Amino acid sequence: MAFGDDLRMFAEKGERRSKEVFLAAVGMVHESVTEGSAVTGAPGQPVDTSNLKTSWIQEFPEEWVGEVYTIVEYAPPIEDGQGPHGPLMLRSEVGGFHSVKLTRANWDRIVEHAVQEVRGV
Amino acid sequence: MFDYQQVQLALRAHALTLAAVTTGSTTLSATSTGYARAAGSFVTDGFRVGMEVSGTGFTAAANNTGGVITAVTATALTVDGPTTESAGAGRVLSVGLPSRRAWENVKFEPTPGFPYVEEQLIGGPTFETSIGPGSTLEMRPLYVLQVFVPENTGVGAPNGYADGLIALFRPRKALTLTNGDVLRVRGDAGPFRGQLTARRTGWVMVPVTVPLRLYTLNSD
Repeated sequence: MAFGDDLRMFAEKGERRSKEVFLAAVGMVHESVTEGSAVTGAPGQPVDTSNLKTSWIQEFPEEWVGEVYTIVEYAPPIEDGQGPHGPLMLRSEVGGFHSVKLTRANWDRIVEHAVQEVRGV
Repeated sequence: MFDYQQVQLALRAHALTLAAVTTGSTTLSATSTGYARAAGSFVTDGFRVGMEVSGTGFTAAANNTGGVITAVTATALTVDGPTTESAGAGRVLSVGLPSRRAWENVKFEPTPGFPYVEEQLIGGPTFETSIGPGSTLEMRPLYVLQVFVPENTGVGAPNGYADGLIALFRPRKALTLTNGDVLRVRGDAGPFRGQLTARRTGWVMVPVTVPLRLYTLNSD
């Protein structure tokens, strides 16, 4: 096998692994926000009817762009723990507030863990 | 080992040093409608409607107590509370952390028309950064200060408070705890503010989130 072939295979492997890490990282963002995560410390979404938790969408509008979002209008008050009459009381046995902030602040750990997952470490 | 009490008290003490806006030491007077100056500009200094202003160097206590700004021009602040006092040098008007503070697990009721701040300390992940007995532990709490300002007063006050807090808790800012550990504002994920939104009837809120990092030794 020629050296050029080796290089091409190496580049293809790098591309493939990068895509796997990217997909894994986006998936971990979604999990962190909805279910919670020990990697980020996020508690996940509180649950009453599961409407909010199941509303979080994971999409890839472009090849290297991942989006995790919800259109539920009461998602921001849940994120901040603040309602129209003051601080919200957490009645759910699971989940909590500030999951998006914690996920955002610990994106580096998500990427690190995604790399480990892809490498099988 | 981790001591959240020390962490929270250190963060709170630092937040209390906020000086979002100040005239610096200058010649100021108090009027029946607020404060006035002959030189300089309240607008340029950054005073905005909805901010809570307080003074130092005035003779009347009410003029040091201050109040909420309802109008701003270059030479006059409209504030309900001050009493007439002639101009004097060496006085300061400043905007710090709102005097109404909802500290965690302390009963609090906001005062209509006054800004207030609510704190939340969020634990975040904890993990080893070295191996073996006595390893180094890294913890990453978040300190969230939610600043509430009276509704329909514009964006100047919430933006001013948020900008001031982000500057106060700037990346790499270090707070030494009483146990010797150093709590530091992260630079890889620096402090950030959220969107200004209506949250509570009568107020709008802007959250400021401060990502932090603390290294300490594992006791195992």
